[in-house]
Order: sequence, then C-alpha cells, then structure tokens
Amino acid sequence: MMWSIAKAAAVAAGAAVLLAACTPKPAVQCDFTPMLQADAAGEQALLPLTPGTMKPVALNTVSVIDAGIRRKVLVQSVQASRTATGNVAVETRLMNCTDHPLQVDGRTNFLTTGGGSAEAPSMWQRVYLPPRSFASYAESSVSGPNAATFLIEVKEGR
Amino acid sequence: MKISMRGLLGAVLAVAGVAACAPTQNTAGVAVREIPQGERGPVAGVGIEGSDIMAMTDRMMRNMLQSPVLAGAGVPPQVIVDGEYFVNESAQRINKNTIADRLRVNLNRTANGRMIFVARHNAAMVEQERTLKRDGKVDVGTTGLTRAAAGADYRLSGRISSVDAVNVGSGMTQRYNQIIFEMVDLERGTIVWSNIYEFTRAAADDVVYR
Repeated sequence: MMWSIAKAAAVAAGAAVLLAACTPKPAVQCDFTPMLQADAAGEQALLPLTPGTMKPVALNTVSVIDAGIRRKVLVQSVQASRTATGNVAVETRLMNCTDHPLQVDGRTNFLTTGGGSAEAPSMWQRVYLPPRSFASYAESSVSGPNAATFLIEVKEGR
Repeated sequence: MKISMRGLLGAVLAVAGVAACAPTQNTAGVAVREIPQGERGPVAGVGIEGSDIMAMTDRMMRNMLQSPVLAGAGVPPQVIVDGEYFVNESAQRINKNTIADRLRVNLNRTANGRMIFVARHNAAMVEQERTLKRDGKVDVGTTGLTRAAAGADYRLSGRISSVDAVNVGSGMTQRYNQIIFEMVDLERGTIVWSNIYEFTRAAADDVVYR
C-alpha cells in the first residue's frame, strides 16, 4: 500500500514537471528585484529635513506608493519634454506583470528646482492595464518654466 | 373604559420588543468622514461623481494650457468659460455649472495672464455698474471707462451624454458616460480646441443623483 502511494505520487510529480515544461512561458516576464533595490543616492531626490529619517525619494521617475501593486506593475520607461507653451509633458509606460487586468491611478507632482511645489499635484488619473501588457500614463504641467522636476506617483485603482 | 395593569405592561413590552428588533445601523449615527479630494467616497454609482468632475476639469485645464492658440498667442485671447452652451443629454441629473465653474476658476488661477476671462455670466452686473457710472450716480472708479464691455474670441461649449444598459435578470446597470469640451471661435465658428472625458461603470446597487 505504502509503495503504491509513493509510486503514484512520483508519477504525479513527474507529470507536473512535464506539464510545466510544456506550458509556454508568458511573452512578457518581469523581475522586480533591480527596481525594488534602486537607490536614489546620487540622483535628484527629495531628502529628509533630518538626515536619516527618510529614505530619499528619487525625482524625475515613478514612485509606486501602493505596496499591493509593487510586485505587479513594472515601470518600463519615463520620458519628459517641454511643450510649445513652455510646460513639462511627462509620460511613463507601465507594464502589468500579472495574468489579470489591473487598474492603477497615476498623478504627477511638478516641482521647482529648489524642490518646492511648482503647482498643485494633478488629479488622479485611471490607467487600465491588460494582463501582461503595457499602458501609458501622461500628464502636463501648467506652471511654465517654474516646473523643473517631477515625481509621478502610482497606486492601485479602487 | 378600564385599562388593566397587565394589558399596559404587555403593550410596553411589545413596543420594547419591536424596538429591539429594529435595524440599529443608524442608532448612534454614522460619523462624518472627510473624503480626500479626487477620491471616490463610500456612496458611488455608475454616473458622474464629484471625483470625476475634479479629474475631468483638471485634465481639460492642463490640456487647454498646452494649446498654442489658447495659451501661446502673442496677444492673450479673451475667452468665455461658463455653462451656457454646455448641455446635459445624459440619463443623470447634474448641475453642469459645477463643471464649467471649476474649469474656469482653475484655468484663471493657472493661466497667469495667458488668457483673459470674460465674465459673461455676470454681464447684467457689469452693465448695471456701467450705467450708474455714465449717469453720474457713482464716480468712474480708479481704472477708468472703456467704450464697451469686453467681447470674447472663444467660448466653451460641451455636451454630457450617456448610454445605459440594464440586465433585468440580475439588476446590473452599466453606463457609458461621455463629456466633450470644445472651444469655439466666436467670429469664424470653428473649433480651436476640443477634448473628451469618458468612462464606463457597472454596478448592481446604483445610487440616486440629485
């Protein structure tokens, strides 16, 4: 009896391994380790008033502020440019690394060269991410030359 | 008529029993809570919410200020942004002035002289003061007189529309909401800027908008 159970288990395990080997890997695969380990040191960053009280927050990039999607949504690119009217236009391409559709909200803080707020943060904007696919979030500043840097925040859309 | 003590006691107990079985959800009141600006609150349906109005006017304002015609002209254009030509053809009851007013106020705050806003919604107020000045009943103020009140180069128009679908079996409601914004050249009749805000929502428990 014991021998037959062990045999059946071995056969089942072998079948599972074979099935896993045959299942095609998704076209889009993600590795979050480098992104989670990224350090703002040396870059333009928001620093704490008292050193050591807060990890610096890198500027001109995307901050995924929601722990629930930190290992689900990958930031593929961030771009910024000046528009014809002298404002800053930012765009980031996000990737849904899961097999389910996701909704995220994005907003942008435009800051002056000194780190102050150039204008009020933009309102949250919903972005729909199909499974294993990309979608873009874009925003523009309205404060002309005052906006020098930016920080895009992303959270799960509820 | 004589009321027995036993009957009275029974009636009191019956009332107490009914009160004990009644729903107690609002007995102590539901505490007021602040909803962060732009976030959906606990009461939400398939229509246009306050958070949608904030999001759409923010997006329109930001987009308008990227338009070279509106925000990059050598001479700042004079514009009218009000709800007069903003029509609601959707299934939802909504105060369209909430949208137009928020858009105008935020545009005026951020345009920083790149556009001049004509207060056509206050035309009667302006006309009354102009008449009093010219009749000599009040002085001319400090900024002087002009030949006429300001005319406008462009005016906001827009439309709110919706498409509803209801599953009578499940009671599920789905609504596509579409809000379009257009700036119309008041001389030539052309559209110099336009944008759209749209979304679809579905829910089994809809709310009443009023």
